[in-house]
Amino acid sequence: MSGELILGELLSREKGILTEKWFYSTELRVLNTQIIFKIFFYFFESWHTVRWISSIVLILIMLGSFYYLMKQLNCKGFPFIAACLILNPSTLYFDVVLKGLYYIPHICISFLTIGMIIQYMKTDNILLKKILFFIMTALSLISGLGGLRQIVILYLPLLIVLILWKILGIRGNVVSGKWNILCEIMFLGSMLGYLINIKVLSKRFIYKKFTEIEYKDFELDSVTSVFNGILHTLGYRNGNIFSVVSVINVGAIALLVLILISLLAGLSRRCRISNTNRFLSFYFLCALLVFTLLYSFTNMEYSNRYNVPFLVFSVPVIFLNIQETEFSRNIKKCLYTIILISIYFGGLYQWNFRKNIDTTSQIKEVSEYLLSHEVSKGYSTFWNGNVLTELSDGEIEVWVHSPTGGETNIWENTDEIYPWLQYTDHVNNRPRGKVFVLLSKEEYDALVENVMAEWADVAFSNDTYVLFVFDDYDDLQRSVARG
Amino acid sequence: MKKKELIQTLSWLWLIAILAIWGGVFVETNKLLA
Repeated sequence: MSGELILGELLSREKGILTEKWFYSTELRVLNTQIIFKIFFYFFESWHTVRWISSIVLILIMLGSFYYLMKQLNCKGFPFIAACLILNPSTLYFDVVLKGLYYIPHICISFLTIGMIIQYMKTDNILLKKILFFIMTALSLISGLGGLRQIVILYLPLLIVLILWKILGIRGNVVSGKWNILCEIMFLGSMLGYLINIKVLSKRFIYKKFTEIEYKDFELDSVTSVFNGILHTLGYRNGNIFSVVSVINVGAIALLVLILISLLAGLSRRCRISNTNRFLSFYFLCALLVFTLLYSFTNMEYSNRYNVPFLVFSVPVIFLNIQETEFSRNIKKCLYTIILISIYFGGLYQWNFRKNIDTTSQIKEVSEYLLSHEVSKGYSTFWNGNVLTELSDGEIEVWVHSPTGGETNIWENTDEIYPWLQYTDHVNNRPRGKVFVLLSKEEYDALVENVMAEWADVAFSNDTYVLFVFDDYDDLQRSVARG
Repeated sequence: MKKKELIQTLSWLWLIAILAIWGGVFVETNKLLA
């Protein structure tokens, strides 16, 4: 997470929003959070201030995009519903979106695009249609430049919606306005962007490409993983059955049932709902299908968090369907209140639990030790590296030699660098002046037989970390050679 | 103020409060850093 901030700081010293001096991760950051970080690094020197303000701004941008979508959907009660995007029981959402600020650009692009399609369908204003058409096409192209993610969660599902819409012969006011051509062009635009990503950008910038994805035999386990992932994103968690976890889990399962009912209502012709609602339900279903099929039939690496960018649409799907059901007003209000209170309750439980956890207290001690002893360069594994840079306001530069828990041994090869979220010049440049090597206690214990430095050489340690400090890089090398 | 307007105002205040608590308790205190 700190890696994104380092990238933002690096870009603030350069022109543009892309850099060849950075090892990116799974996707090239084009229209992404680095732009916000970069902007605030122009104004503030404190990295903490940049993180704080950027977090708020990014969340506000997400809420703004959501407001636009809700307005186009004609869905009422925005403030209460939008609060669910900040206060909800999902640990995964908390970690990925609110804490890591990941996928916020993808979510915003999806909210805005779906909103713009609906506005495009509704409006008779030719000029507005042209402007929307231009923005959506440009957005699809730029999104494609970043990689596959936006295509998988938005543009491909939209194309399938279009096909299903035609096959099922759904008609109504909302289908006027040639939105079908729009969906096709957006898909082609995003694919063109992705083609540029593979053929042109990948030659200049370093990031993981997904060109080696292969089909595999269908596995039911993949579907199970996707299902469990969805439940966890909705707030489900493992824990003691005789605890608050049971209440949270009942809420998560109820939410899942509610999503399924809403989808059925949205897709069924028997239910008298608006075509915008139907369109949204179709999109949500298609995104879910694409996501499930992708991980069931290909060897694409799966992680629960990947479902967040489309599962966030379950919020408008549920509330729009409640709004449009033929229940009496009082029943609707009652349903509304119960759902909101359940989500808020789970969210408050999570906040109360999280507010007492300070995940960085131990590494802050390491940072303070290094700064007070004027040691500003050194080595660590991935999860302990970039965070040191952020905590020290960029004073400490860390060469990440291997992923956390990896098998690479710093003592065997100090020159090996993990090409993931760090400066590319770390490959050729060596740290100057005093050099530190930071290991977690687990890493130290796992490597203890191979560690060439003696425990007596330990400069600092606490409950979590062991820190070695050497006079210079050669001294570190001699320490390695000593064994 | 009508009941509807009151609820509307309260709903916005609720959203702002949630955002403020989020920013104050979690982001500002650096508890989210990892």
